Order: sequence, then C-alpha cells, then structure tokens
Amino acid sequence: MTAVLQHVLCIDDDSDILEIAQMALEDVGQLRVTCMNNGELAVEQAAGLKPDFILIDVMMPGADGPTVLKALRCQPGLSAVPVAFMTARIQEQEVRDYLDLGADGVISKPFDPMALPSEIRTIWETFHAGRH
Amino acid sequence: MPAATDHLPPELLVRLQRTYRGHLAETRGLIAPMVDRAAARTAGSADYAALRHHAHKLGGSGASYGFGRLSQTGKALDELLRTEAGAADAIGRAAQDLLAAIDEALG
Repeated sequence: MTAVLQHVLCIDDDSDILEIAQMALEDVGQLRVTCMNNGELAVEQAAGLKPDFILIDVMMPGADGPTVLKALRCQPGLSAVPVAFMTARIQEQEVRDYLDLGADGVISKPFDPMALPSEIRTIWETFHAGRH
Repeated sequence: MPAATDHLPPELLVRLQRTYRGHLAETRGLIAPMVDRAAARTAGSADYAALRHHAHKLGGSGASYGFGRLSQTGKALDELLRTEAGAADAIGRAAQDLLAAIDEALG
C-alpha cells in the first residue's frame, strides 16, 4: 500500500503560528489540517485523529515539544507517523538534539508559508523512503 | 531578516496581517510598561521573563506574516534574555527596538 500525505496535525500554543500554518498547508499544500494549542490534549487525542504527519512546537507551556513527542511515540497508532519540530532556535547542535530525541525533521520559525508544504513533504518522503 | 511572504497572494497576506495586527496591538499594550522599566533599568525578573516570552513568540512569527524586523528584533531580545549575556542597558535597548518594530508593523 502506498502511503499518501493528506492530514497534518499542528500542535503549538501560539494561535498566530497555527493560523498561518493552517493557511499554508490547506490553501497552498492542499492538505487537511487539525490544529491543537495544548500539548497534553494533543497527546490524548492525536491517535484518534489519525494524522499522516505531526508538527510540534518545541517551546510550549506545560508539556513541551520533546515531552509531547515522547508520549506520542508510545502510542501504537502513532509510532510510525513522521514528526517535525517547529522552533526558532536552529543552531546545528540544537537540530542534532531534536533529531536525537526522535524527530524526523526540524522546521525553522519564522517559516515561509509558501514553502512550508514542500518542507513537510520532503520530511515525509524521506521518512517513508527510509522505511522501504 | 527578510519577510517570508514574498510569494504570498497579496489579498491573503492582507487578511492574515489584519488578524495578526490585532494580536500585536494586545501584545504592545502588555509589554510597553515592561519595556519602559527595562529601558530605565528598573525591570525585575518577572518583567524579563514576560518580555522573553513575548520576544520569542514574535521572533518566531513576525516574518511569516511579512514583518521581518519583528522577527529580527524579537529574536535578538530573546537571545539576550535567554543567555543572560546582555547587560541591562543592552536589554533595554533591544526591548525598545522590539517595541519600535511592533509600532512599525502596526503602522
């Protein structure tokens, strides 16, 4: 069965980021998007949403990005879903740390709304290419 | 930092910026007294923590909405406060730069 990227779950406490990410992924990327502004809630509900890709902000109050990623990876339905962190801090060492935590990619903030869909598709394709 | 919206359809950018400016005006109201205290070197740790929170958010979002200077000044202040490397006067100047960038974005 060929995997198809259709549904992206975006998790960020900043409504401005969620709004522009949703616009970019829906209007430009022709993807379906679910936005959540709370890490704990996302962990509870993500599996039921069946996303094909998950975007997580690193710095969030309560459960931060790495905590959310770890919790998602423990869920059977989500262990094989690619995850990318969004962060304003993209020093080389920090990116390595995020990948070591299990992220499949890192999206730099502020991002170009027109380029975001292709950035995500690249991470998604790399993830699935590595599984075959 | 250049704006990341060069290829965004103008009508879409205008709509997005309208909502963003509304949030920006609220943020300005919240941080203006803190910026004043930072510039006067009378800011406390709560001021710095709140300023860093807002600077980080604006640094991460501004250029996505076409406000490159907002991201530039937000990131600069965030970094000064994160590393605690900045002297009080440098932080005060960076906070004033951020406020000026907010005013520029608000028009």
